[in-house]
Amino acid sequence: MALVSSASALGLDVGTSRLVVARQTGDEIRYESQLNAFVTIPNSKITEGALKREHVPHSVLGNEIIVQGNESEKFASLLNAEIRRPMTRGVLDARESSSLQVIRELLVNLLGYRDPFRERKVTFTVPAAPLGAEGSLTFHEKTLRQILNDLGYEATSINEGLAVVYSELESSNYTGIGISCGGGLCNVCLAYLSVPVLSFSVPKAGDFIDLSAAQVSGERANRIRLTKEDSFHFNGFFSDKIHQVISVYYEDVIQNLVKSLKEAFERTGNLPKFSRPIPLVLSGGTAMPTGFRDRFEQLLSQQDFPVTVSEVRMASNPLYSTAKGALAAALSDS
Amino acid sequence: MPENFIQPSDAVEREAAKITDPLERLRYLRRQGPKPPAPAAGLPEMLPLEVTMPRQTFRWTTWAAAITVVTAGLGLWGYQMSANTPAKTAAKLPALTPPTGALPTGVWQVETSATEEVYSNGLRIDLSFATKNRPREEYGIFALDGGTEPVSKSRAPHGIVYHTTESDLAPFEEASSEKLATLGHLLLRFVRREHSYHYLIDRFGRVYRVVEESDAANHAGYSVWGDSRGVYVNLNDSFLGIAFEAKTDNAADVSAAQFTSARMLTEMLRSKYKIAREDCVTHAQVSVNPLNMRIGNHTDWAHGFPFAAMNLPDNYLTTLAAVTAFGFTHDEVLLKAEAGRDWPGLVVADKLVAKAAASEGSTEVRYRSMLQHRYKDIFAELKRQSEKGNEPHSQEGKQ
Repeated sequence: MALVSSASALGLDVGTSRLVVARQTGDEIRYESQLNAFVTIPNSKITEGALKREHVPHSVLGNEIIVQGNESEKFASLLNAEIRRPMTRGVLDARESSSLQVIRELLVNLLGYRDPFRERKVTFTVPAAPLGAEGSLTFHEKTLRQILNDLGYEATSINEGLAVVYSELESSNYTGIGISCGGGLCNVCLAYLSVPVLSFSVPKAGDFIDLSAAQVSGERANRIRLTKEDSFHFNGFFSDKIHQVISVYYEDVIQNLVKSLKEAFERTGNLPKFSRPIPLVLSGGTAMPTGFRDRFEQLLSQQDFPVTVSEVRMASNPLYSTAKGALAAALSDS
Repeated sequence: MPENFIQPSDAVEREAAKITDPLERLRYLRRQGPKPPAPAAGLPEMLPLEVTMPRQTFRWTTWAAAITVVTAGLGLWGYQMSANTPAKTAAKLPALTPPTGALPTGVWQVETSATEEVYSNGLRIDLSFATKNRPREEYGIFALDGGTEPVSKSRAPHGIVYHTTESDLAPFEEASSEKLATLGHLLLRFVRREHSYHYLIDRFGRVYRVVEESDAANHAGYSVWGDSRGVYVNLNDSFLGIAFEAKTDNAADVSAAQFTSARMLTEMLRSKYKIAREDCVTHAQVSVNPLNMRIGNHTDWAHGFPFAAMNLPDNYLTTLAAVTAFGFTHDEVLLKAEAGRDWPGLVVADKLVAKAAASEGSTEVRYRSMLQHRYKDIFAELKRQSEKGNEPHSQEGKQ
């Protein structure tokens, strides 16, 4: 657990499901992630002592101990409880009473306090505004900035979709479409020579699949998520009930994303006239199952999409591409 | 390309392609590339509103276009900040660039007496002229998407407006010390009597509290400002007023000591009230005239305010909500006050209004008229409330 950061600049992906930090050390970029989740357990000295001995990240809040980050999943399984999230739909959950404390603890664990003798820049990702929730985005962005400032960092934010472009589209001079399919949202950004032209988010993403599938199957959303991440592949037919239910809602997410993409581009009357077809990159945990890209491309090709797309490809490292893009933004600012 | 999307020359793209290091190429493009109609990061991107709002009725969509106009402008600020656009004013005042060491995460009071307050960042406030006025009243925050009822209310100071006193000035030299002191003293007595500002910074950089922060000062009068939270109208209750003993036409005469004190005072107030950087603006940026529906009724700091020296972004880039939300226009007086300099926020605001009018199939005149009606409805209601409360909220006191 780092308490003092030694990196020159940091990229931070603040996702509904995971927090990922990217650090450049020499020629190499290193990533570290934590589940953006927590469980609460009753406070007792014995429990707290045990957690300390095992180096389990936790904090004490009144009569409860909060176990946050990666360990929360194990404790949720042990206690047969749902993990809780400090964020929902891409932004801090103002209704979750522990959200600020948890996110702060997670950031302290991931980033550490700034090394006073090194660079202090951190660029963190923010979603594009979901329709009807602009206020919550302001709260989200400013709160994260405040926490990072408190840790000693000079914090700037970057749109999540743009971070994907910075991470993956160097070969096209940072021109193209970046899509990050996360837990709470799918974020889309069209960029031209590194500058965002159109950004928006779609509120159907991984959590929608987990919750919908959990409702239908009677399973816990936790278990649906683990199944989805461990063994799900998207080929259209399953004999297993849970896989079949997941595939139905996955299809819904992809269809909704493609439809939103087409409508957004069509309704934006002044799109740039690109001199050549542009690439589209998919990233994020929700886009990872085998077959996702193929199905997305298939549906997109059936649309009369207003921009000619040269290729639809997966990010080289879908879980880390937004953090890498945020790091590129931080380093290119210096 | 979108109308306000400035395409780079082919040379930029060719030059970028020659750069082999991806990071260097990104750095080059972010500095030399096109300027966007939407933000890169940090603030809500408003293009989604444009693309997700169904077009229902003329009036509704007109408001929707207004949201896009207002917030796309706010977004432009966000992009330009993240792109490290150099601040013109900062370039002129290199000696005033804030220190590069670790900035304080908070400023707190370390000493207080009957005559002085001392703060952790070195700020000293002279209390010998401090006075009360009427208590700060609850003020409304109006939605970016139209309507004449406030969407929320607050009593806390939300921003800072910087002024110049436009008072008589003596040459800033040792031989004029006595005259400088006398003029400063007379000015303080005047602004105290008129409750003109919350703070005055005299020629020597001394900070005087004039009106208590808990009270409203008559500094902003008819005024409008907008940020990502909404639009603020008549800022006496919502913004704190800081005045430099200075004349805006002779801003070069403002002393380094005055700017240093203003930075420390700004840091203290921002820390105390959690004031956002984008809400620290100049009087010329907020002042409006409801009679002729023009901005820039007062022109102090219409140009040349050293935002960078205040550790603030160049807020001249911020699109003026008075134009985009309420259809205000401007005239030759303001252009003259700008002294031929570009005011990017004003230029972009005008373009956005023209674009929104075109997208609605309306003329710019008709579109502005629709926006102006909204302002007049809000203004009439505020005036009614003011008269009911028997408080002249729109007073401005200036020598």
